[in-house]
Amino acid sequence: MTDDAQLIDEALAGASAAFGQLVVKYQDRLYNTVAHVLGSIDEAQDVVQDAFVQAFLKLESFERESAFYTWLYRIAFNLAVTRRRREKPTLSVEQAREQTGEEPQSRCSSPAARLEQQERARQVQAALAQLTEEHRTILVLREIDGCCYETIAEILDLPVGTVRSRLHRARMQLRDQLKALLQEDCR
Amino acid sequence: MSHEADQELLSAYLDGELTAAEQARVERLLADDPAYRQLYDELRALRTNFETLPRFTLAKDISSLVLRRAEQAMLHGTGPGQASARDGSKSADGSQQRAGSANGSSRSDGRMTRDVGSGMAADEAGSTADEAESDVPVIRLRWPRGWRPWLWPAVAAAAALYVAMFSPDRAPRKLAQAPPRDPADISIGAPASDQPAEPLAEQELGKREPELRAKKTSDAKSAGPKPAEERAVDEKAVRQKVGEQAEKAAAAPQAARNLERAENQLERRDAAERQQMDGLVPAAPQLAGSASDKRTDRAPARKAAEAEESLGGVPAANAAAAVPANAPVAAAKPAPLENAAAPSDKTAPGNDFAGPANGAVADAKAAPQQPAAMPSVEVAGKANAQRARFGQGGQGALAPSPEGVLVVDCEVRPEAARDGAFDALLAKHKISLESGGGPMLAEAAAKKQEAPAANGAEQAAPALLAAGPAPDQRGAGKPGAAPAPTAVVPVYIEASWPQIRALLVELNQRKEDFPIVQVMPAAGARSQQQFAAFSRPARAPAGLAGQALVAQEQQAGAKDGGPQAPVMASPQAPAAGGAAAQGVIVEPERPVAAADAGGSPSAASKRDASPTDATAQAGKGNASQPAAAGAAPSATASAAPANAAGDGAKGVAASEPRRGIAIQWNLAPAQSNRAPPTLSASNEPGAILGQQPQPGRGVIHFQSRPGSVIVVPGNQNVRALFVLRLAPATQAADQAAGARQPEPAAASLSPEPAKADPPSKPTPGVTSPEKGAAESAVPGKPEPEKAAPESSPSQE
Repeated sequence: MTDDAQLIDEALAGASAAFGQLVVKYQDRLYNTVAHVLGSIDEAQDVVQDAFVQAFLKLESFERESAFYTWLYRIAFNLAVTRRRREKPTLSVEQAREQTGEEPQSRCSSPAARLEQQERARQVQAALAQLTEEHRTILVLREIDGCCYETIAEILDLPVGTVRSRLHRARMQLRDQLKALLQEDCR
Repeated sequence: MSHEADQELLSAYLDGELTAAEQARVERLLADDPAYRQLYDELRALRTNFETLPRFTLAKDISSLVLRRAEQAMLHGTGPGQASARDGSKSADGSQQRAGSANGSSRSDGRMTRDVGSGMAADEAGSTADEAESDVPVIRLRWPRGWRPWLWPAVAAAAALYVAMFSPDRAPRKLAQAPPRDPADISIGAPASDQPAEPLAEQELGKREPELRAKKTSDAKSAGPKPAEERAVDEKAVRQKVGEQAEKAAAAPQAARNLERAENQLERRDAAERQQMDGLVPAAPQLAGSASDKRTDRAPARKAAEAEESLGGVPAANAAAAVPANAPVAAAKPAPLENAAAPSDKTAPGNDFAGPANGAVADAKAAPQQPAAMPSVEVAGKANAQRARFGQGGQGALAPSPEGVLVVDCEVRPEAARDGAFDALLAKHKISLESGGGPMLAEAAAKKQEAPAANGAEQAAPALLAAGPAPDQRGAGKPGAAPAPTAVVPVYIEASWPQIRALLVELNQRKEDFPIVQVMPAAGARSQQQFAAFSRPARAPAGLAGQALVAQEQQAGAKDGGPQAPVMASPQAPAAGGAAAQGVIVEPERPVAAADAGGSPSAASKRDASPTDATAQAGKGNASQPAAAGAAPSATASAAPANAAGDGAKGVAASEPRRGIAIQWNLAPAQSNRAPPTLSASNEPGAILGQQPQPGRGVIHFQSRPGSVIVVPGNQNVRALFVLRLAPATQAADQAAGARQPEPAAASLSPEPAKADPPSKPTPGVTSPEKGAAESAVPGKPEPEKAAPESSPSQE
């Protein structure tokens, strides 16, 4: 946070390279989250770029009441929503992944374990894609990005209580989607 | 508190977001209510499953791009895209001022003007603002910034260069074709046409006849009447003279025509090669060598032709073109090793030459080595250099091992996957995973990305692409209804012949763990044909909407005599579960003629069950045939479009010599109507291959590993690609087994007959919703891997 504040100060003082450091620091995290929320890595790339540009242009308006990352997230999600309203849905993450070659590196050393993990990930992704956007967003923020309720509330501009209830509903929906998988896991 | 509220508390408890009182309440509920505890376990499992999701990262640092776009947005007075236009002017103005101060500009009013060049940099903004203030329209041409303005000029320049390098230089040849004219010709005015001699003589005679008659008339007037005999002699002499001149004029074009004919044939051959390389037409890996050789042949042949032409003889090019390419010739360059194993490219469409693909038809004396002009040759050269750098020799070391890659399509039951059955088999036969306790491939890949200039001999990074599931499988939409498993993991193995054989024997025997084993020898690899006997018939994977194509490209091959390295298997990082990846089809490196002619009886008897012949047909250009028919007899073939298979086959087979293996599979019809694949290759050791977009298709490139290629004297190693697929749940498998085809005759040729099929082990597959009862009947079933239990939710 302190580092961010310092970099922001430097950027405001005219050192655009300082903002570049902020970009480098957060680009992957933001990209991962937005990609899962949007379900399209192509769109996510555009949104992330636009969000950073927007943040640079509006850096003076950043009041520092929240973390820079939270503020950046808000910009990104607003852009994503705008983009979603304006454009047709595009390729899903699964479909688009084949075009870009981006694939997470497996932590499993065994081919068999990788086989199983792949299948599991595919099912989770498919189930996630079935959720409504607001449920998917809140789940991604919590489960993938690891945001706490307060941060989620800031990003989504919701009360914390709403975050909690919405998150619970999203989980229950996802649980229904993945019932077989979860039963297998719990056995 | 209501049940819903309690459940909500449970969810928050999982996240550690409860107050102490709420936490105590939840813990009490968990202790008292089994249903509540069940829900808690499920939510925890749900969280664990999120950990399997991929993490997307941007491949590059976008900070410079962001800053450049921000500068442009400031200069244009807009935000990023249209969305920023309505953001208000306050922050935008402030940003402009910031940029101005950052660039030493004295602008403080934030006035911006649009410049002619959209890529204008911020340091030029000051002068532009001054121009705007002067109210004088000044148009200034600015040097464009960024790469975009240079893109099309660069493309045009490259195209011009290409044309200049590869198109036949006609202008000098036209000059050479021009027949020598003597003053008599000029006086007569005979055109240097390509007309045959006799018609030309007649034309000349007819053209000059009025003139001659007029001359005769004037002569008659001046010298008086000549006798009839004298007149006849004069006319005969004139006719003879004109005829000789016309024949002389026609003789030179005849030589030029011969030369041109030879050139045209060479051009046609070149066009066929370019089509093979560019147009995704099947081409053998020796294309680079052939291209270079042909090109080295051309210049001397043309020179000789021109020299002979200048001497009035028949151009040598004519003779060169007439040389049958399949005649034994002395190549200017030693033919690469793969040429020996490769059949000729007679099947390549548009190839007029019926000779071997390497087609070096010039005499070594007459064809000194010329610098290679084609890109493929450069690639080969680079690869040579790189291999030389790694101490594996030059041209000889570049050549891949003479046989292609044995592909084994293997379905693994989920419980066997959990048990690590395949891993155990590898270990049993002393095929150790390459990581060997060291860094895993994935980690090596990550390191490689961070330090691309690192030691190229270290483990290569696999480039990964995931094929998405087919539309009919994506998001079943029914709660609890899981789609069919589609995970695919390729494992590339280089091992000795006995090791591979033992591995296949065991795979064949363990039907309960590996319900499908399809061994697909590389076409033309005679020693691999016997492995086909270890296949078990494939059943049609249910619900599949695509088919796979496995392209085998040359691996960084090793030649005889190298140092022996430990046998290893290279587990590649996950290929991602593409539904389309089921039913692997082998696209052979070369046409299967050798397999048909000299293959073992077992291979021949396996033809019905093995897709080798089907894919060989695809390799021969019959790509529209559904090559999937062999591997996945009914469902895959029917579900997968023939066109898609054809596209893929063409795309795969057209690959130039590359050091690596490419697996490619097509997706469902709805997804495959896009651009055909363009396989890329990199010869940088350790570089990642296959990062190019592949619309509609998933491609996995296997990086060659120059430093870790196994070299066994005598080239006894077998390169095998095991494509592991997760088998469907037991119930579905049993249903499919009912529709299983009868055992092919080849099964009886198995060197070690398969064991009696044991009672099929119930599969706790991840996809079957109804398998609890079946699983309970299985003693000793391994517990599925679970995430480490959270000691306390509050720790989160």
